[in-house]
Amino acid sequence: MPVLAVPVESPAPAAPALACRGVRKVYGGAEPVVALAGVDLDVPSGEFLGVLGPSGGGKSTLLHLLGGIDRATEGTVSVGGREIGALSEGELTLFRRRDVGMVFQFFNLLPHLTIRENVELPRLLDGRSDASARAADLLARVGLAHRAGAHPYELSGGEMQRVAIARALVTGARLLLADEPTGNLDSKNGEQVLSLLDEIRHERGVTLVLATHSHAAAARADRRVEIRDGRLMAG
Amino acid sequence: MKRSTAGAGLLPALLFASVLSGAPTAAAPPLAFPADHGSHPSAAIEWWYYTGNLSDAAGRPFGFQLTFFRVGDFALAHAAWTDGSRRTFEFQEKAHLVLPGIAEFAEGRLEVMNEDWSASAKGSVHRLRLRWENRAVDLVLTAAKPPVLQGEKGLSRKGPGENEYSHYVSIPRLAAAGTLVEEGRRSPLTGTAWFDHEWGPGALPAGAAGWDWFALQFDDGSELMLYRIRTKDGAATPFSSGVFVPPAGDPVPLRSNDVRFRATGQWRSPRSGGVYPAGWEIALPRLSLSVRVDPLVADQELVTGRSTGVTYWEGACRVSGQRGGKTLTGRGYAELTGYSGRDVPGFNSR
Amino acid sequence: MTALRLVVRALVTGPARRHPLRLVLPVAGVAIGVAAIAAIHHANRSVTESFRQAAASVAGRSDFTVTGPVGVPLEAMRAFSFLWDVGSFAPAVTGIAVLQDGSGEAADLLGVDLAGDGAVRSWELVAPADRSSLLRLAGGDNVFLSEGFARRHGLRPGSPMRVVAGGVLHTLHVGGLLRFSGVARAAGEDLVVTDLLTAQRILGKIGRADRVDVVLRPGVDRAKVRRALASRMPAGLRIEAPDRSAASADRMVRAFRFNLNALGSLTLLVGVFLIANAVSISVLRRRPEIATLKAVGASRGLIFAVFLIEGAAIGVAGTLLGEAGGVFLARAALRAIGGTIANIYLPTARIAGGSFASPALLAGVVGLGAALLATVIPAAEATRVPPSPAMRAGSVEAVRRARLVPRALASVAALGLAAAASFLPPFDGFPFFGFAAVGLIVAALSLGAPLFVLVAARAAGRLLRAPLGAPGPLGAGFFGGALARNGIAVTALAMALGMTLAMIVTVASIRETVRVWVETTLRSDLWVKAAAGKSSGIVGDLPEDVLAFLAAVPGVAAVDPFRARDAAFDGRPYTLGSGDFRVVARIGGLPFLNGADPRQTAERARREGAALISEPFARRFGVSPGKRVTIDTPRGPRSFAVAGVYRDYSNDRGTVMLDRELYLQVFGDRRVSSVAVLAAPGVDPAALRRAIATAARGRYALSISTNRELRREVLRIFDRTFAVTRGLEAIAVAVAILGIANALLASAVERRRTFGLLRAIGASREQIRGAVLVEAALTGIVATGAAVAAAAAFAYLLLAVINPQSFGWTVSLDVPLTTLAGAAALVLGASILAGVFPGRLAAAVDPAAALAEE
Repeated sequence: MPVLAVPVESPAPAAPALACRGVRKVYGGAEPVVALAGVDLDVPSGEFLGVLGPSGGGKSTLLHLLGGIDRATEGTVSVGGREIGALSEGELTLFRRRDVGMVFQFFNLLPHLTIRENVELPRLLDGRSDASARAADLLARVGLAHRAGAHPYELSGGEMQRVAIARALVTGARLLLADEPTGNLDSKNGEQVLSLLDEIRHERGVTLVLATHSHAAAARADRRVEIRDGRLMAG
Repeated sequence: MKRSTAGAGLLPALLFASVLSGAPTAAAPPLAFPADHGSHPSAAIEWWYYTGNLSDAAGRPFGFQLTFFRVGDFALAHAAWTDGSRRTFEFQEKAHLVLPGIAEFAEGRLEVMNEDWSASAKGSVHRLRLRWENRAVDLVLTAAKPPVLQGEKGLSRKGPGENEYSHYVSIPRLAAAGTLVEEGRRSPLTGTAWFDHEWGPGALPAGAAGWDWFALQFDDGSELMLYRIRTKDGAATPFSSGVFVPPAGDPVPLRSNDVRFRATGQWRSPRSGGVYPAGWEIALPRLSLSVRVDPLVADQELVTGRSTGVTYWEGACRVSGQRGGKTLTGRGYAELTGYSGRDVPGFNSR
Repeated sequence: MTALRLVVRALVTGPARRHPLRLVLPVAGVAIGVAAIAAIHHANRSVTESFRQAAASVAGRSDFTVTGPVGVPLEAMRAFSFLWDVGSFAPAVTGIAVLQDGSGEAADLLGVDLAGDGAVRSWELVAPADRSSLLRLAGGDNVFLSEGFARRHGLRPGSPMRVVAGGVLHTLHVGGLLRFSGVARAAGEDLVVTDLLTAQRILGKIGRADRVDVVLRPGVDRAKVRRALASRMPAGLRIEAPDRSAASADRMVRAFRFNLNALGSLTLLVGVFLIANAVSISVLRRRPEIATLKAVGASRGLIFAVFLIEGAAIGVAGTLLGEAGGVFLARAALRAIGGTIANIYLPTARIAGGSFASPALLAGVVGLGAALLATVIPAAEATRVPPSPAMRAGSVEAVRRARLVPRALASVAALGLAAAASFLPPFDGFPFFGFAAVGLIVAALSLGAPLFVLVAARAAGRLLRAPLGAPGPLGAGFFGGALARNGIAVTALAMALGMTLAMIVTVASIRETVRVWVETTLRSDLWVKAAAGKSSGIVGDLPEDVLAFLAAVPGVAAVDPFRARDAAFDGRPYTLGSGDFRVVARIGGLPFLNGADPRQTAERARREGAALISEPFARRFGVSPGKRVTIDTPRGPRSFAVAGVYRDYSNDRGTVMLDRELYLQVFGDRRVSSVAVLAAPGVDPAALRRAIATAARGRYALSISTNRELRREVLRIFDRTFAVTRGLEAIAVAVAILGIANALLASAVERRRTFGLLRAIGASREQIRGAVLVEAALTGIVATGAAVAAAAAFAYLLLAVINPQSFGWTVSLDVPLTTLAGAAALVLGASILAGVFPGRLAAAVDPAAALAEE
């Protein structure tokens, strides 16, 4: 079974700078939806960028394009100087696996795996033998070492999001994309998650893009932009 | 191919007998009783035949017929009951292989049975048992006269052919007493019965179409038996014959030319469509006897599809006339075959 | 009303239109189950009904039947004549005629009093037209056939008809055609009716009838007449209920049919599991819709009702399809089963397909019921879905996990009960408790399956990480995550495979035992019986003079006559046999159970007038050496000491053997069933066979086998008997594998989001596909493991409990490891293959689209 990726030990790269040039994303169909209508954006290495905007404004689409989950219809998206639109499917998979960590509004933990397994998984997908150790470190870091054997549904929302953050970091990615991470949390838990993200950004030197509709959440960001109807406005 | 058969008593049974290659008639030993009342398995066909006119305490007249046939391995039986006051007639038939407990014919004594019908004799006393769905008749018949050997010492010729004969014994008068149980009511019966027993190869002469047979019992103690074997044009063959039994003394054999027959009426069967003579004038000038014979009930026809497959008329009759100028009354039974067109149903084609 | 319609559209028809494939599996599950039930039930019913009709065409309207150890001597019927006042009675001679028209068919020959039989049996002469002809045609060599039989064999009134009966070739003539009425109609088709005397002559039964049937008039006190008859008739005769012969024929094949029923139920059970699985999956899959509906105010009752409606719709569709398939399957099953019965049990059995209505009804009810039943639990679960669309994934699983411990305890309890049941004796001659133990093991399996899955998933999660990398724990996680669904899939496959493996062991063990037994027992060079047409067994018997004839053929050293006839003890049929014990005393060859020396035992039995009994007889009737057996003889019951119990795999009814001399003296039945012939030294058996065949021409109609042919024939019959069994097992396993594919496919669809997420966080397509294959393999492995454990239990129950109790055979264990491993590997391979398509489906998930679905 060719399911094993060859482990490649790469030197820890610097946190990537992001660059979008004329990015358009159109979802096809009977009535095409223009999610992004020409976005130009630069995020310097290590910056904490807050992306504000209403629901459906194009925040998630932008994050998907940055995270290599989706491809732009037009324009270029560069991460750390690599144009990810030009990557092959396999390269893109490796990019997602190693270079990006994502945190979602609905946590998206795998219900059938334990907390530890959820965190280990991306590192394991990369065929690394240090997955357990890294996962343990990260769980300790997010304060959930004691829940490592539990299943996601046994955790509170805040706890789940902390697990998700640990998972996003386990590969050693220097780009962290968080899509409404507090959208499903009460304010206390939301605050905890945001400060955790902020702390980790400093600890690990990552570029962090936080998409949110909440100005309060975005308050911690170094810089804020707003996306409305697929267009970027100064925040 | 031999045309099956004839018998003074009953053509029907004979019709489907296979002809036994002739036991030479001349060598037949003299008949002895009671042994010869029993079965003769070497004969192709054999039957025991009772008829009688009875009346109950109220004087209501009845007629009965009970016949057991043995044809090869088969046992057949017919029984008929005539109720003169209600003017009804019913008959039943049975057919079986000869099998123990089902239908049997004893040798050396008279003991025959077919299902729940039976006849047996000890000395001169015969017992009959007859069961219907709604009627039981038990009779004790006491022979009033010794057996009469028909024909030549009991050898009765039916035709010129080697196998055209039968052994034929009659008891012309038996005093009958017994009971009738009908629909739960029991009544005593008394009357007079007739017994015939025949056995032989069973061949009927070529050209015979049927016969008429009469057994008449007169109140003066005499009896008359007559049979006519008819050709297709209705004439009697020379082998037709009979016997007159006087109240006392030896029977008088009769030849065909001793008898004059005249049918006085006709009856058409609604079942078979056969047209039968109904009523006769019979004259025997030699015995200065002339009588009228009238059926007790017009319809006494048997259609025996299940056993012999033959349709014939066999019925109780009233007799009146005179002998030597004196009034003579009596009762009897008549048997008429070959009138329905159905009594030779293709058995001979084998 | 509108609300209901909308809800139905939202939950049922809408999703169905979007994913019509999802409906295919539950419908197919119901259809397969229904088809299998209908077919097996139809086959079984047809067998019983055919026996009943065959018996009825002989027994007619009779109220009871008198029989005797060597039939009823006709003279004995004198004692019956009182019956004419209350009814009637009719004797009959029965035997078998093997047609010599190339068909080789065996037909029941019935000799009756044709003239007087009308009161008992229901037929009429249809050609020639008038009934009185029956008298003229009775006797001689005339036989009477049904129109159908005559047509089938190209016969008309007047045609000659060549048959072998009583070991002699007879040329009979078709005297006429009969029409059977009433219950006899179907079975009467295959009767050859003739005159009682003719039948006696042909079958060598002069002076005897095989049965006398008694019919009483309405309103007659039957019990009173029966008592009166019993007191009058000669000792040795017995009075039986009229349906006895049907019952005993039915009983004869009961073990066989039970086997079928058990396997049929297995297929059904697998089918029900499959339905439950499919419905459960389809409900779980619609949780978001359910949640949304509840959020907008749909009541729990409404949700429940809608799912029941869907279950009913699936049930109806599946049932209709299944019934259609069942008609074809039934035809095939009937052919196979009818063939086996004719071959092994009753050579003249013609199993006609009965009405399909009742099997169809039963299967329909079961199919619909199973579909509804399978819907109830998932539908109830659906009602518990909270109205929040953001419901936490996996909470249904959490509920199920909580039930694991009680389930595991129940599973252990079921195992304990199964162990206890295996010690219980047969009930009414039948191993009900043995089958109950099988059922309990199945229950334990289904109760324990989720636990096995969980344990296996945990272990695999650890073990597979090193060799397989991420797909290992991922697949293990999938496997353990869908506990309920995979538990069902594992149970279904383990059950089907376990029974299959157990049957493989059982059949192999019995076959090997029989093979060894045949080698020891068959010592003569040739085996002679009456020509039997296409049947393998003994059909009809031979006149005694065949012994002198055979002995006089040059090259024959010795002849050993064997006689076997049907007998009954306490209404239970067995075989009464006789052989020449001197031959056994001289050459041995009869393996005794306790290892006793056959020569000495046979010699002692001969000297002391004792009986030898077969192992099945000893078991069925609880008789052992030193005890006595009571046998009905023409002079009433007589008891014989038992000198020994010998192994016999040729007959599961049980046999009592008497020395031929004693048998002749007691029964006066001089005919023989078969003759073993020893060739003189240096004489080639094949040449001797030719010599016998040549000498017999025109005198006897014989079938002669050499030792080797007979051995081969025994095993051929054996294999044929179990052909049906194998077919059924294959169906069960195929259905179970389909179940796995279904479960995996459902997972693939349900886990779209998960796959999307996995892809989003960097899983490659290969890794996803690998994980699904790992899950498939784990399902197969756990099921196979459980199946092996279950198979060991099943095989023990079959060999040590059910088989001795129902057939009475001691069987030595023979484990065909290669075959077993092959079967297990095949199933394992098939279950991994079942993961290929779902794996591809899973790998193809577009992460952005899947994530956007939330």
